[in-house]
Amino acid sequence: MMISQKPLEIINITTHSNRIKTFYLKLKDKIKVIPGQFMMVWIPDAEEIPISISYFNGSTIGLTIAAVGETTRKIHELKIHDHLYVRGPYGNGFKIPKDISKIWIIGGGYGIAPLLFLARKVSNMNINITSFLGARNKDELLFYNQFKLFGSVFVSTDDGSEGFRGDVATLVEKYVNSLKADLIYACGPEVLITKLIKLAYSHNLNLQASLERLIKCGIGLCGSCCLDPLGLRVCKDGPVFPLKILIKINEIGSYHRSSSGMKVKF
Amino acid sequence: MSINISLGTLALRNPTILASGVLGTTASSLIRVYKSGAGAVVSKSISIKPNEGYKTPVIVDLGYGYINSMGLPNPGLDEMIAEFKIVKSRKVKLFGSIFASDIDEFKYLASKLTDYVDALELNLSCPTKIDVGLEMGKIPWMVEEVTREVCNTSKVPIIVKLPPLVTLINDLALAAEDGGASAVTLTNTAKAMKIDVFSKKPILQGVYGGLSGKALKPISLACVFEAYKVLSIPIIGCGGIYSWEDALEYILAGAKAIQIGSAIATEGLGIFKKICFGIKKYLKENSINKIDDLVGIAHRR
Repeated sequence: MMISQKPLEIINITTHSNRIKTFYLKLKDKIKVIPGQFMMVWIPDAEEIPISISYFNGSTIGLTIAAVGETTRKIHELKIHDHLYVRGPYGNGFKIPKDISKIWIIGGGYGIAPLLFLARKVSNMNINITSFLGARNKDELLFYNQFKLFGSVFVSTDDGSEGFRGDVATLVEKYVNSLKADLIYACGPEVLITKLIKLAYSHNLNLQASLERLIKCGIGLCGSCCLDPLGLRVCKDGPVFPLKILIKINEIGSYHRSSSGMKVKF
Repeated sequence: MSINISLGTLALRNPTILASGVLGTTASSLIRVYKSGAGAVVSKSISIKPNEGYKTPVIVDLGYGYINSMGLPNPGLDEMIAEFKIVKSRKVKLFGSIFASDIDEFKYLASKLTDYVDALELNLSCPTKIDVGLEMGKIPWMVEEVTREVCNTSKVPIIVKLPPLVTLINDLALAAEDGGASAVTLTNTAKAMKIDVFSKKPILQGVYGGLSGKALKPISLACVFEAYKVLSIPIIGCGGIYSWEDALEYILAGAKAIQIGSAIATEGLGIFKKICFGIKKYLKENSINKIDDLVGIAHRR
């Protein structure tokens, strides 16, 4: 664990689309990382933000970052040999039970990023992987070719430029009765997660999903990412939660909280 | 063996209290911390209007402590009252922390919150925000005046939270007592900062932050020891408590209760029960009946 903001050298950058790049950083310390965990990422004169880990091989860590705000746009200007400051990894990642043989991986938008790291890990464990990937359009569809290496891949895009036209939850629904899985792993927009919780619950399927809330401290102290009604912290108790917990978190799909702690409806 | 204590008219099931600023914004979180074993929980400091706080980075982890500059984020009085109603419906011992720019604002907050809390804690000492109200904690006559005015407005006991690293902690603590406070919390975090040597810039967006955790413990402990010599009202010790031994040090120095914050990051929410268990075991092994018999014992010569 890197406790304090520490500059790490960027040794490679992959550009996936106009908006999305993966930054590969050279690690100085030995750290343990589980898929689904995140790092707090910072550069001077910008904000510190949580980014999930999309690649890890012991000496290099990959962070896939979409340029969606001021800070992420500044990060996108960085070149190889520049530095990104990181601390972490933080949070609880995806759990891989011993007795599973068939899984679904369902990702939407840049929520697909941490799932690639998961798929890589699971692919070495003799587990059958079926992936469902959703994006706005073909250009923004992340890691399609990489996921193909691990098994069947079903794709949806909002504009129909690749695969099924519509959202990935609807695509999954089409196959839910014909395909079987011991466990579903999911990450993506809250509207997707909300639908998947309902789907998994009604079809008696097991699910682990990653949630997103405003994370400020990242270490379970400040309370900005607390979820109602259990008071679970996304940064410490999550970001990945199992179905039996997800069904109890009644704010999912309904509201989140602003920087001041005020409720904001989705 | 019981470890319940009383702070004036306030009876607590045990001496461990959630410190203000930590996990204290939502009802869900406050209830969770109380259920995990705290004797009482203090909310995040509340202002009349919503406050977003500073932008990130808001925390630096030094390994031997944290420097945070949250900047007192809170959704404002009305939203917090809604949260407090839920907390109180679950029979949680709740202290509301408040901060303001002047005495009138403090009085207004106290009058609005007094029906929903068991006590109010006046934050007169947050080092991360430069505000008149938060500088009051350094000036004895101001501490006395604001305490007296708020006590006259409030139906519930008033606790005054004071800063460390001040010239005379005794004068400030006595000013709170003279103003009518039921207890003082010693201490808040200490003003601190961290500079990144590569960019040559402060890391925290708020530049200054408050030092908490292990590095703060000996400093706050000395404040408690010093103030105990002159005070008649109870002291709540706060700063870097990670174990029952840390808690006991504060009690021996003169604290009747203790607050826990930073330690939750690494020790988890089980820390409240763990500390209570340790204190109980200590009392039993030393045939001591109650915590009161240990308060301030380190002053004996």
